[in-house]
Amino acid sequence: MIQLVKICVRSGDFLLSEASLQVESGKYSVLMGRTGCGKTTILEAIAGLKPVTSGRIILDGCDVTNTRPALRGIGYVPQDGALFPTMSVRDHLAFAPKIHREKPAAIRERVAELAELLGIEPLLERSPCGLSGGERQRVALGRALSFHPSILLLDEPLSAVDEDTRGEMYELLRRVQAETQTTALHVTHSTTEARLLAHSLFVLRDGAIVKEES
Amino acid sequence: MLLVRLADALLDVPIVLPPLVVGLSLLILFQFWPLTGRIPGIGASLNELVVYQVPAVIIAQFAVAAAFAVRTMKATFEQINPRCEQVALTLGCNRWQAFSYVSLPEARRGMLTAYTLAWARSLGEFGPLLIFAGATRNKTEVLSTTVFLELSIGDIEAAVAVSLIMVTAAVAVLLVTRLWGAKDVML
Repeated sequence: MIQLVKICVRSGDFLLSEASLQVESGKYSVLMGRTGCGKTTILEAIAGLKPVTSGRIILDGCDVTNTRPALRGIGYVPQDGALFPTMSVRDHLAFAPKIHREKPAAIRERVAELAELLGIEPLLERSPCGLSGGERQRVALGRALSFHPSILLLDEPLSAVDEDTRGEMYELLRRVQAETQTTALHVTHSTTEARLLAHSLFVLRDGAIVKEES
Repeated sequence: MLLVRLADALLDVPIVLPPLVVGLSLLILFQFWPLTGRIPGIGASLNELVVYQVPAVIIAQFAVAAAFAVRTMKATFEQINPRCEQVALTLGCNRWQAFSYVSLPEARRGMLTAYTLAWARSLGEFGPLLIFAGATRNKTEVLSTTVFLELSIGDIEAAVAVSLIMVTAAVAVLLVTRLWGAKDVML
């Protein structure tokens, strides 16, 4: 479960004040809002990439407000994918397990498992520069899931994906969330995405997060 | 923020100063304490050990070339997407791991460019060396000062021969930076 208790976050001139949110465990939740209203800032605060000036962030019952990102157990998929340019797709999927000092056999198994789940087996030896928008997001999703996080944060993951691929990605995101049972928080400004994916829908409006019927 | 901008501007000083002035500044710097104080156990001051000696060649070349290298590397690191390091942090890395596994490999080509350009700049350095290290035969003589020395005694053939070595080195640097260096951070 993700709980935000009256958090205040400053990002340059932008200030998000006393925002609260409660995302249920194992559900696919979507956070909507206009461009520039602070959706990405909220995700970055949950991931530990942006410090909160006040309030608390509680993940699965633990207060992680001042915990560094590495210890929060969150898979994060940024808008542009942010793939590592010098690594192959296989290296991306193996990166977090290596950092977590898993055994080589376990890493190989995890890479194969993720590649099959995401349908990226033919891409394993390729570098990110030759991948399409949809392929990049699949790799970013695989990298985020590679260390079995309990929470998955997706920041407009389909904004750079063409219409045909988007349909496949909806199906993929639904399936991945159902199979991994992660608590997913997906940020978007697309009502179609929200309608197709959300178990719970939240709207960020005038600095307040309101839960809406999905 | 002001301090950062000031430090950034200071980096440019060796680039914008005339080379002769850089050499003269170094020469003057080494006339002041503590650089003139005797080092216990050695019996000589840094001034005596450095000025008009081989270390002066290295310091004079470093003073000018390092500024170029830092500028090139700054441009390289500014082009790296900071989001990648942030993602690495969420994947379990600490700051050093995120930098060394993600940003550093990405900066490799830019660093190679910075190194080769700085080396090429050092190779052609003349003014600061003449003032700070002198141009003493078989002592503080480098390729650029050799050309000057050969010309001053009228040995054009020797001057041209040494110049050709410098041309070859310059072409090699150009090839290295064009083939393997970062194309978008060239000076």
